[in-house]
Amino acid sequence: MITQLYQGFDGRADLVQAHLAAWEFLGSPGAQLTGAQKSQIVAEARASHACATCKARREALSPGWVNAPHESDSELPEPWVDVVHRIATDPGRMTKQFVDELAEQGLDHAAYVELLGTTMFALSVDIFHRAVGLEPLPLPDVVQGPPSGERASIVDDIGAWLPVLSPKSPEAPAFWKDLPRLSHVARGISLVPSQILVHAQLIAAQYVPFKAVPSTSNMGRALSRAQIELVAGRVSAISECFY
Amino acid sequence: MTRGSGEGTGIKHGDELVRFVNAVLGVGDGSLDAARSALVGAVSSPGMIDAAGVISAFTMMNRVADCTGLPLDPPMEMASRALRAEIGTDSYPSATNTPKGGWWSGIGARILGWLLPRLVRLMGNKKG
Repeated sequence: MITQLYQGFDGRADLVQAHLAAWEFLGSPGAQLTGAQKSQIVAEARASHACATCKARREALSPGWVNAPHESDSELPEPWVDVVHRIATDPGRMTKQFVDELAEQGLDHAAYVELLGTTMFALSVDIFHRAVGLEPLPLPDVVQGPPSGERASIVDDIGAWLPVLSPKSPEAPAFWKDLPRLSHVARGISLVPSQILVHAQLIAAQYVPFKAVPSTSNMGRALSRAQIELVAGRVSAISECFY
Repeated sequence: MTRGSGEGTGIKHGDELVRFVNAVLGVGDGSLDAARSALVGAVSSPGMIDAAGVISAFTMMNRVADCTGLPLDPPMEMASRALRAEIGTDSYPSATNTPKGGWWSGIGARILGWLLPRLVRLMGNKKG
């Protein structure tokens, strides 16, 4: 059904495939979230752009100074809505203290990682549509079923706020078999391993595959690698992302 | 690039690319339709679509890094030290997630600080 929205789009097929796969994932049961909750997170990520609280928070010297309720478009619990809106609109000022306090309040690290993955996949597909002039996709179709409870069986500490999947864990080869070296960004949301493949497929289609990141190859794109890196650098500068 | 313009980067159509990024992400007052048309004129429709993809990918990757407190990978920390000092990214809030390396990495950073700009220039000359 939603494939029809790409009719007339003259871009690469791998882009369409990656976006459709991500959208299907966003409606499917996750590790701790149901498909319905993930679909509502997509709605919240969209609602955050017009949220007055998010606007006021971005303009405040410290994000902690603004604590009004968000302009929500779902029935998700308010703490979840706050996390999704922060990830969408003010990610550069997220802190370890905030994430640890969420865990103390019951939103553990794996649940946070799943909220993060769901939000950023939605943002990524939506921004692509906006950029090329396509209509936004409708909210993901919900697949019924319980969450799987999935969580990395063996974890590593790489100096981040959250543990990540260890390459020594039995499930790791299924996700990273083609990577000669694991960068931190390829491991960032791996506490919920099923998110790794969606992330990698999106990155491979939208940018270059993780294994090609250290090279100077443009992977046959219409832009040179220097042009690709200029775009990447400008995006990171706008969001003041150090990484 | 960090100041919002592609001019002076030495990269072909850098200005159109940066204007497109700014328009997509709502920075400044440029129209997205105009920025898209200008970019298609400069790099073709497939080039514009590639740029849109990279914007989408880094919207995502920046959040992985900033929302999980990822430190830079140690080789990248060393390789980018001189460049970071030059363009001012060490002042970003998320810079505190990356610890500074020891004296040995300072030596490596100096060597790479000399080598990397030449490598990037070579990349720029290779195509585009």
